Amino acid sequence: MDWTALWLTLRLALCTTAILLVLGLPLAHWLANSRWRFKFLVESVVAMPLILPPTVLGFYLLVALGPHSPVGRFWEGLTGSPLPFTFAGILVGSIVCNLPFAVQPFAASFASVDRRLVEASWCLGQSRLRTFLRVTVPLSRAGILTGLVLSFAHTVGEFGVVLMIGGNIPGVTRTLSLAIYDDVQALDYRAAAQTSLVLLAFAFVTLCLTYAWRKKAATA
Amino acid sequence: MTAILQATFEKRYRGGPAVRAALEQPAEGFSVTAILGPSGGGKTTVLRSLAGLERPEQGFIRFGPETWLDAARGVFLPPSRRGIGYMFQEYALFGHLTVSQNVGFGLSGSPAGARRRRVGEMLDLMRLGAMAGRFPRQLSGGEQQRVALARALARKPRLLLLDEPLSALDGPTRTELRRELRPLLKQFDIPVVLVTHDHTEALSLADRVLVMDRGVIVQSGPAGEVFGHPASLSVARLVGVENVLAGVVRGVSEGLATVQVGLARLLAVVEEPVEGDVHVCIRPEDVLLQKGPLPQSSARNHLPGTVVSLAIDGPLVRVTLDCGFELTATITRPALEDMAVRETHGVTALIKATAIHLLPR
Repeated sequence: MDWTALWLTLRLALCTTAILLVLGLPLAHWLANSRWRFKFLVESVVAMPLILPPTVLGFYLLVALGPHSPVGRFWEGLTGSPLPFTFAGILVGSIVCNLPFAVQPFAASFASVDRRLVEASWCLGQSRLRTFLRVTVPLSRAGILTGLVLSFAHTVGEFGVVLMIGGNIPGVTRTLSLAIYDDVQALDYRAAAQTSLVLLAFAFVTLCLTYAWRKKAATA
Repeated sequence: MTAILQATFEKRYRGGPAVRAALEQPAEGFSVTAILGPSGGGKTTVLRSLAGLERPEQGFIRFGPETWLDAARGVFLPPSRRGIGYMFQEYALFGHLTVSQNVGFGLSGSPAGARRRRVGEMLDLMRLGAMAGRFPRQLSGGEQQRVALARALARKPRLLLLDEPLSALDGPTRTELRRELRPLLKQFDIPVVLVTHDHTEALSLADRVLVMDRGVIVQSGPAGEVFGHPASLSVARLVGVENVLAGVVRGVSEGLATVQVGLARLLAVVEEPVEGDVHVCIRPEDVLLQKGPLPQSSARNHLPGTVVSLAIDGPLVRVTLDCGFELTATITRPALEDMAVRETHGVTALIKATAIHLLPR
């Protein structure tokens, strides 16, 4: 069992989930409520990682974050190190490719909140932001939890994007799924089986807990 | 000069008729305006525009010195800053909060102690003390209605807007709350605008009535006037009862009330205790006309009168009588031809005691 890889994977998944919570809630709120006629463009971009091969996504991110791109140069000027082949680099990649896993459940649950409850809150003197925090978010907790769990679990299992942007550097960008690949390449099936079992159990337990909680939340 | 709520606006919908409204009401003190009309007639749009939940394309809404909407100048105050209370038709209670959290929802700006006191006051006033810790889904319809009202009133709004306040309730609860609502609202001493499709509700709750149909106000005025003198046949149909007379209850015995209307005394069956000033409501189709000598009849009320006018409306004729007060009867055309009644003829109107409906005035 590669403990360094496990710790790195958990860190990556936690950071990705936390940042997606902060970025995803306002974006999902906008998607659920906006009447802009070109909203479908944003929706398509958000959903793109669902169907793009991770290698394609990873390739574009590598180019976009590299030292020849404005983003890459800005980051290097700011921190002194480039984005690709670092933890920050795979974190950015991970956030982008998990966007739909967080934003779509968020937006779906926001859209299902009874419009009149939101209006009732406005009429009780609450601003749009306070209404969002006091009415929309609590009533969407099942959808928000689903989005977070999906992003976390999907980050743990992400392979292509991490490999393209991060390479496979132990302790820096080598996550559990990369470790399994390495073990198989090295014909160390025992290690690969161990790690795979851990990931399988993790996925199963997470989904069981989520569905059980959702059922409770729905009947409460 | 007293402050007034003044609103004149037009809200357009894609593919639907525009809703036009003009409304004026004192912005201080207790008064109730009812917007009455069939569903889909634009009443709720008017209420939502007053709340700021809809933004009319034209016109203005002023509340005392404040401008809430001025379409020409692009002024629009969001609902959260209008200081209103709004009660939704299905109440829109927050399912994730308890009764006391619902009632205290709009008080988030005040300190915890003051908020707790105010919530306690409102729960006592609405007889909801025992329900404080329950969730909305555990309450009956009548209790939910009281929570919604308590929530809207807890933050001491300057204007209360009620969308079909009683329509989601069942019959008996509705009658009971209809009687309680006006005295309750009076304690808050603020203007109230309510929307209803039920004319008894409008008559028993409101001082002024606006009748709306297909997006336009077809008549407005004091309740007694609108009900007593519908400006058109369509208004008469919308308000349901054409004969609304001012009466005074002289006595009640064994479920029968004697009511003085002008010089006449009428006998009415009463289901709930009444006293003092009442609206006496009689549907025109419940008034029988008799020419010549009176037969023995089960109808308890006999009113001699003179025919003032005849208006033909399809197979029916609306006969307006002068019985010391104005009374309208609807009869069929063959009946009119049989009786050979003309204007200025004398007839007797017969009304059963069960056809007279009394509402407190």
